[in-house]
Amino acid sequence: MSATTTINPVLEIRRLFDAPPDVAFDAWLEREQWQAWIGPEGCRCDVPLLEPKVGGRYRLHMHLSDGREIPVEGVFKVIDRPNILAFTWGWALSGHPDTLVTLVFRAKDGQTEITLTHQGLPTEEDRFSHGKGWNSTLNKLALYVKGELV
Amino acid sequence: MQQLDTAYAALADPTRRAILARLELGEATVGEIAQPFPISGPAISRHLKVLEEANLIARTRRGQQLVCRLNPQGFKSAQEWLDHYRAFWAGAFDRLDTHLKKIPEKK
Repeated sequence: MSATTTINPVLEIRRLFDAPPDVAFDAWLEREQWQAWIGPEGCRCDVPLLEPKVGGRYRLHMHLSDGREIPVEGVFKVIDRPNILAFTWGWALSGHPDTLVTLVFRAKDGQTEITLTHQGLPTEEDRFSHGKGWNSTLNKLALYVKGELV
Repeated sequence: MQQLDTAYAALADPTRRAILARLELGEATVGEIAQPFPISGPAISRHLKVLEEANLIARTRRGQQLVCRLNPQGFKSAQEWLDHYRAFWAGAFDRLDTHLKKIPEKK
């Protein structure tokens, strides 16, 4: 797809994971699995709520090293195992509008290519910071699907 | 009714549902909509055409770009029909329940 001028900053990350698509997909949609790896490196997360259905809600708490706790909330919009997953992403305490995370899973030589797009981010700065956060989070997912996350 | 058939057929596809989820955030260019999906430009255009024919989205040209947004009216008629259908079945089950209670138990 050729690039066209975009109105809003869109974050896009494409990475390869060493697991089949259904394994990579389920890591996002089962509460205990999500809790095991979601969140940037060095940041522990609780997932007190995850309703794995369209219209279902999730809630996660990120515990920062300085003791702060950051809640995130959202709703699952599309669940098409193991191809497409889309959910809203809202920083519960900020005044920001909800944003949308879309994941597309593609089998590639026994591995899975995930394309993550995060849309609706208000500013270029948000795009940059969320890019760092997701890349760090996906580092953990890469280890998790191989059973190597400590 | 034909409009509704088209709407439900349009909603049956996960890529199209993902496109609608994106448009819930606000209007977007075709390029923005296409970004998450590893499919060709023409394939995205076909999805958008299906959604437009189902009255779920509207496309307008703005300079060089096609901008898409949700069409609330189309969603409203699909939702109204669904509510009606739900009410009908709820009623039908209540009647069935009453009917079953009237049948004397055979021993």
